[in-house]
Amino acid sequence: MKISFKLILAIIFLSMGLLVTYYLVQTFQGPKNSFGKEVNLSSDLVEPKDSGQATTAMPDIGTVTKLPEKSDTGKAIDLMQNSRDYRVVMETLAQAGTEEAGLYADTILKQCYMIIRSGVQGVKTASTKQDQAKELLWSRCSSFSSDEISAERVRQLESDPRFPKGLMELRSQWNEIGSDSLKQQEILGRIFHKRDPILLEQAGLGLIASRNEKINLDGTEFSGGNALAAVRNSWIAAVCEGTGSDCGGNDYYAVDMCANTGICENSRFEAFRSATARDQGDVYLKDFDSAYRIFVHAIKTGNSAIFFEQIKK
Amino acid sequence: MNKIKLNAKSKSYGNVIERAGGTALVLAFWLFSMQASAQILPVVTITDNFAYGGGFGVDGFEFNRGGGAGTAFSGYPLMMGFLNFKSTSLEDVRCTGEASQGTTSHADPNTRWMAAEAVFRVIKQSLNTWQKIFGSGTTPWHDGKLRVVYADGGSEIWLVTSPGMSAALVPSSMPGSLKLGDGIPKPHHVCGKS
Repeated sequence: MKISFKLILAIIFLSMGLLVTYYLVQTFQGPKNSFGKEVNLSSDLVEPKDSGQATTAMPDIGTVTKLPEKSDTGKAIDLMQNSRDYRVVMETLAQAGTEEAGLYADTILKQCYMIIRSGVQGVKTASTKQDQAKELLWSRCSSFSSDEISAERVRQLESDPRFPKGLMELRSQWNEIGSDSLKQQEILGRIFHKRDPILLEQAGLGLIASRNEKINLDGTEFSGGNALAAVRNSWIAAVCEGTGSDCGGNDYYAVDMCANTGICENSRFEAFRSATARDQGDVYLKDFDSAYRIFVHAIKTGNSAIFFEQIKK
Repeated sequence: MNKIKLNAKSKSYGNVIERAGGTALVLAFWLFSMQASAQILPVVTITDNFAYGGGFGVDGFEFNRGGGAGTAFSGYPLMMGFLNFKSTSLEDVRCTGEASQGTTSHADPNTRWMAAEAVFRVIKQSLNTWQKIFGSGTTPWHDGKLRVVYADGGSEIWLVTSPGMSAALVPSSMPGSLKLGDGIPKPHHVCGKS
């Protein structure tokens, strides 16, 4: 009788242990990927959503009232933003063979590499918008095989003749520059001149992050971790309007944020503004808006010196 | 005689089952206590010189530096020691358990970035527990920067722009942050393989 009671007790706890283990395995397991290889060119374009910039709460950028002509590289990002299948964009880039082809192919492969590994399909859906965003995010990368979006393939891209280095070369120069501010200013000037949103985003974020406690932009000081986070978010948003790129509801950041975090907005600007409110607090929206205004103006006027004000003083 | 043998056998099975049950009991309690402590810990006030953001992001990750004015509860030093141990391991590519665990500081930038993302994914898994302990809104990375240690002991600082998204780090590291190791992967003192 005593043994029977212990047996029952043992079975109960054994079952509990197994259940908890099963739960933990499920929690930490990535998504089970299945990669289709079909390419449907006709279904590539996403239905346009609020193309362009945010319509609500957009800060007034002041003196610059007319957008300059969109840069050539802006076309590449627009291809990405309006695509349902990045394979089609890769093929278009390869055929075009322009200077942005390598950088954008590299960006696509890296994005897909992370999207496939992130487990977005396992994210709990809280709204229809989020469900649609998850579907779009997955659809953009699902036509690549796992071999095609491997680390090896990303490395091979650098020597693939179909994708000229062009802007990738400029990014490499930026990556190798170190902390020499004179060299930084020189290369950043060239990046501003190219007006490519991806190059600008990466270089600018590096410079903002290299400021430990505060940054001075056009006479305005942003001080403290939360303010700097708001500044970083505003920079990611500002490269869109600054370069005249399409960062509406189908923007890859906006879609990714909606799919993964449930913040579903109609543009990159609104998405990062909402993320700032959520992560840093509403009080930092003022910093976000001021920095955004300064950055958009700086990009439009090619004023790369905005990042080096502290050095001049 | 047969009856005695049978009884002895059944007693032996009983012992085995009993031990298995005991192990399962301990396992179950341990797992549940993790959950339970994670929920209880947020109301514990940690008043010492730990500063949110000292993080294992950039400057290294040390809790309770300098001892200070006592501990918040009896298990506090043990918990801090455990968190220290976990955090120094978390920022190391050798502890990711992914293919990138042998990445050295001499690898090409793409490989290093992918290794850094793998490190971030591991850290992100512990984010919920972190925020339950130190409060929502706090993060283990410092001011958007994540320091990653490579298999050869070299290190680099990466920028965390969008922690909730598929790719959390900017594919370019912070300018001038790469500290080269000797290029030879070495086993990690805790995680072993490189």
